[in-house]
Amino acid sequence: MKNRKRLFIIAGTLSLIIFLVVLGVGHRWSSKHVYYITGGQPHPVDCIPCHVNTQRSGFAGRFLKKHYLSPLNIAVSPDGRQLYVIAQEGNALLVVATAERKVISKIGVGERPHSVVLSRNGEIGYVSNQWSNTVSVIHLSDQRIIDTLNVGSGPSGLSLGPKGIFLYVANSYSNDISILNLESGHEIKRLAAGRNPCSVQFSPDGKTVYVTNLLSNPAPFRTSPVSEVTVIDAISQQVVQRKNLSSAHLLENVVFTPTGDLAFVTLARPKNLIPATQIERGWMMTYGVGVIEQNKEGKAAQFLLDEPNMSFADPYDIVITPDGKLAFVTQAGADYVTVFDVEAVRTLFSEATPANLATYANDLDLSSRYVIKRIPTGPNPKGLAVSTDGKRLYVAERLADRIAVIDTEIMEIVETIDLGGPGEESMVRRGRRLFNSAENTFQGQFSCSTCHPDGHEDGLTYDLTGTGRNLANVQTLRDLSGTSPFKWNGKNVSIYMQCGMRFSKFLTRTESYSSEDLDALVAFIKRDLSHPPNRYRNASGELTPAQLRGKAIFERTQTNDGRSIPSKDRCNTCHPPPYFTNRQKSDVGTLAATDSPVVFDSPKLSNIYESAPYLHDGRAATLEEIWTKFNPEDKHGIANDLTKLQLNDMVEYLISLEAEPSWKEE
Amino acid sequence: MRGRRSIIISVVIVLIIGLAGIFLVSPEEESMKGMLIFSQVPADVTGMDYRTGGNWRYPPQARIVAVNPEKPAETLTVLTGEFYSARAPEISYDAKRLLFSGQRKKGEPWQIWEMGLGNLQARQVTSNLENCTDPVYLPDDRIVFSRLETDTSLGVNHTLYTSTLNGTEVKRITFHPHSNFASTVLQDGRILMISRQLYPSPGAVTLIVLRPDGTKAELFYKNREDDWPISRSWETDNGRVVFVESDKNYSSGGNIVSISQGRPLNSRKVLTSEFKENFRSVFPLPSGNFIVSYRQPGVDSYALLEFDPIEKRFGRLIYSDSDFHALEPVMVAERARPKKLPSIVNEQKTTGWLLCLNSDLSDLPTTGNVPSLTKSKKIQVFGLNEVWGEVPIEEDGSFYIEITADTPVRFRTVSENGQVVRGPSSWIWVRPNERRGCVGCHEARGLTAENQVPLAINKPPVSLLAPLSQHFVEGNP
Repeated sequence: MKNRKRLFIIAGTLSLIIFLVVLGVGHRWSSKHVYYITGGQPHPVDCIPCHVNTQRSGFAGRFLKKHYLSPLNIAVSPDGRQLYVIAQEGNALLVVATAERKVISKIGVGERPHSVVLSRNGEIGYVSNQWSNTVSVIHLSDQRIIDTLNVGSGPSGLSLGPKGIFLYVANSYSNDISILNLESGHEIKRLAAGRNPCSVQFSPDGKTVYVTNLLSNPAPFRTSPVSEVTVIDAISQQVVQRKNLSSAHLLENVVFTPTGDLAFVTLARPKNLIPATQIERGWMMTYGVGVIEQNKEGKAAQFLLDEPNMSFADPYDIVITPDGKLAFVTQAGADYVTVFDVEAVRTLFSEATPANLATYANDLDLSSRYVIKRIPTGPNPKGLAVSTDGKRLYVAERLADRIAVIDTEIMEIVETIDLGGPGEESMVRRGRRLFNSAENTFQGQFSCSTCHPDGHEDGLTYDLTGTGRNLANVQTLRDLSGTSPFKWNGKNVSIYMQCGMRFSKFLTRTESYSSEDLDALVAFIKRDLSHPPNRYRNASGELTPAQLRGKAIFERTQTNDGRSIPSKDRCNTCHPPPYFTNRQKSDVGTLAATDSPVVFDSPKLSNIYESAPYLHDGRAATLEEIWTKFNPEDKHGIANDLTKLQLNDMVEYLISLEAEPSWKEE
Repeated sequence: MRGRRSIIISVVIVLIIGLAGIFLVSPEEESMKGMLIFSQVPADVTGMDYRTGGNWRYPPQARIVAVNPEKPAETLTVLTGEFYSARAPEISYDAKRLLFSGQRKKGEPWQIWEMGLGNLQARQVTSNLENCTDPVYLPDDRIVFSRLETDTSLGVNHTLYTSTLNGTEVKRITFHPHSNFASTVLQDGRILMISRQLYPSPGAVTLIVLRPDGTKAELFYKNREDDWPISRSWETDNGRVVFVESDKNYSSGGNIVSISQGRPLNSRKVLTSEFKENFRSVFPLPSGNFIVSYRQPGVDSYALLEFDPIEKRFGRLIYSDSDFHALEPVMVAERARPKKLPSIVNEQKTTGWLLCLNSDLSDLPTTGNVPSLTKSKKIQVFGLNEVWGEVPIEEDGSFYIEITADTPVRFRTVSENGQVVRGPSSWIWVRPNERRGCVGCHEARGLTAENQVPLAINKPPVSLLAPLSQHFVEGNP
């Protein structure tokens, strides 16, 4: 009995010692692991934020998912009694009674709806479904979808002609504009736009249609971006002009004055060519509006909405009151609606010399001459709609699942309308808010979303080291899970490290994210940012004959003349499925004289067609140029023996590559 | 049974003692919340000197007191009774501590002290041979303060330093021939300082903003040459910065001025023009009203009053004493902590870099008879006494140089035939490893850069180093 007792004591003591040792060793190992993953950022040793909250699928993924609405764009009924609100994440059109301030109906539409316009009598609503490539036609009084019209890829902005016969649709992924004849229900024309067209607007006289393009057109290497406003003659239904706004970017929305003499376009003016020695005084990004005169001369200019020490990031929508006096702009990264005096801008614009206008585009002090008020809003204000009488302005507070109502006379929010989202802010939702907020950059100069609009990339190359060296082409953040390391040189082993202390030291130049915020941001990036459906992939998943031929080239082991291709020089060695990256670094012969001596991380290739320009510094304007111009020594895969047709086939295959199908279930 | 009861009784007693401890300790820490703290300076003190601080920064027999603003006469408490003189109170962001500048005994150097507002025990932060004054809390448990410099070729002046709250890791952060006093920390994390050029000739008093590591110093506010900020500045909840501004003769105080934090150089509003220049300090309340130090015409001492800046009208008189000026009021209340800015300074390095995008972009007039459109071909860099060298300017007006860190420099642009076109510029410095950019040379301050690759960065930076005699050595300014 005594022996047994002694045995128990010894066993108990040993177990305790082993437990403590395991606990100590485990904690030490975990601490080292966390230190390694975060790059030294102070972070508690906690497994759940990184290993559970970032799960896209499985039990954790489903359990943690909350169904937010994310109101994006709005239309108001002609009598002002109802609002029609696009719930981007809810895949629905919400009908809101303005008097009762409540949602009275929810109409399910396609995937990722973007915009809504109403027929003149307010009986029919048209909703673009960005991920379904359709437009839903809705009979509003009985809330019934009466038709679904096929358009190009990624329909976003919509505008209805004055007679209600033609609907113009900006196809943001296929870079074109569909013209739909609503009487026949068919697309009658497809016109080429700029890059990522996103909004369409008829002029008040119905004769002209303006289309804004989110991304700038391809430009020669290391030149300032030039963005296009596509001008369409609504009578002949032809593109009559491609109006270029120099040094401008992210042209989100357009509006005409009621008299039609001016068109205003929201925009950003990036400073991607200037070494990022600092951030003070708009050194990296400024924001404002473009103004285009509607006459033969068609003079254009840009006016900033920022101030010398304060940026108002990510302007999104713009509306003008029916009397033409006031313009309202949502500044989605700053959580403000800025109000400016249209007449003051008109006067400055008309009286300025070309030299004046060139200076105005960079004058941060000028906004005091036309900005009347800044109205603070809820998080991430997006679409705007003004009532017919001009007295009420409705603002979609996207990340609050709420509509703010502004009295346009006193220019203050007088009430809000809760759309009925989950209410509480989940960790991923918090991450989305942080991603879209410029609060975490010095003086609010940019948000993550500025350079990664919609979680993707802005197509520009930046000089972030501030020395004219190591230029960096912005990379997409979509479908990043499982593709570490990050950065072109692969120095960041995790998104934690990518967005951590060094990020704040060299890029945002302000306080780094707290560990809680960093957890939320990483969870959002890993869980919620996905590529849209690959438009080059058949719905069946089968490859086209050209894509199949390209696949064979991608996987080939011999050159055209029968020489064996070493494993390291084959495409699929560095870019194997499922992510099309082996997550290793290699020398592909593209190091510039101004680059530090590094080798490059193999980037993932899913939806690669969306990511021009290519290579680490963006020197290749197209996929073809990677091999026709920048692979003279066959270091980026043996490819110089390929015929033109073979290269075409390989590119056909490359653009069909998409993220692992299991992710797409969600 | 008895044993169990004893255990329960013991646990209850321990709990009661613990809770009582918490109850007794916690309220004490927060007991000063809502109190108004200010400096009392003897009313007969006169004379001020920007360079030395004089009686303005180092008045004799001043003291820091606290009052309950609701019943000030009954609640006046002297917080610095053990000091010969004390002033410049600053409340921590959590409203639990007080920082101030104090002289323990007459003749001793003024030092920075910190006092817990719970126990009112003062603790010395700095231990310097020279006067230290005007302390301000930084957001990362460090402080910034001004130190009197007497052993320099400039004569007497004040320089900004940062340190930990223990007085360790003392770091100098300003390096130009100015006299500087820390004023406040803006919500964006930068330090705002009152600054006046001393060399080669005394200039106007301006507000300059810089990061806590001493980088990116730039002009924040300047009015006419004769208008000088004379009080601490405060950033209000609605994005304005308020302070008292006087004419340079500073006879009877000044006016309260408000500028926009976003557009400080072109947004000046005088809030008290109806009241003659009789204000000396201002402190903004969350309500939008101010507490001001104001001297009625014909009265010798400054009193504390509430002031409504919208209606331009005084509220109640909070405190008045004919023997003392009541100055530098601060309310004991929590306030938003500014951003903690990261630092790129690498003290192992001795140089920094300066990139100017277009040196022809300038508001400075050309010198002498030089035509205004004359294009500059070179930039001349010079320090306090010597020219460091010249660098060719690129066709687009850009230049890119590596210069000695922590050393004041100025620039002149020079034409092809060696004629000075514009300049000299204001004094600037770079910190070790700092990369600094300029849109132009004294260009309009609202201008941002045009998006183009500056030609100068296609080559390595030109190295222009200061003669050894001009290098800054820690501890030997």
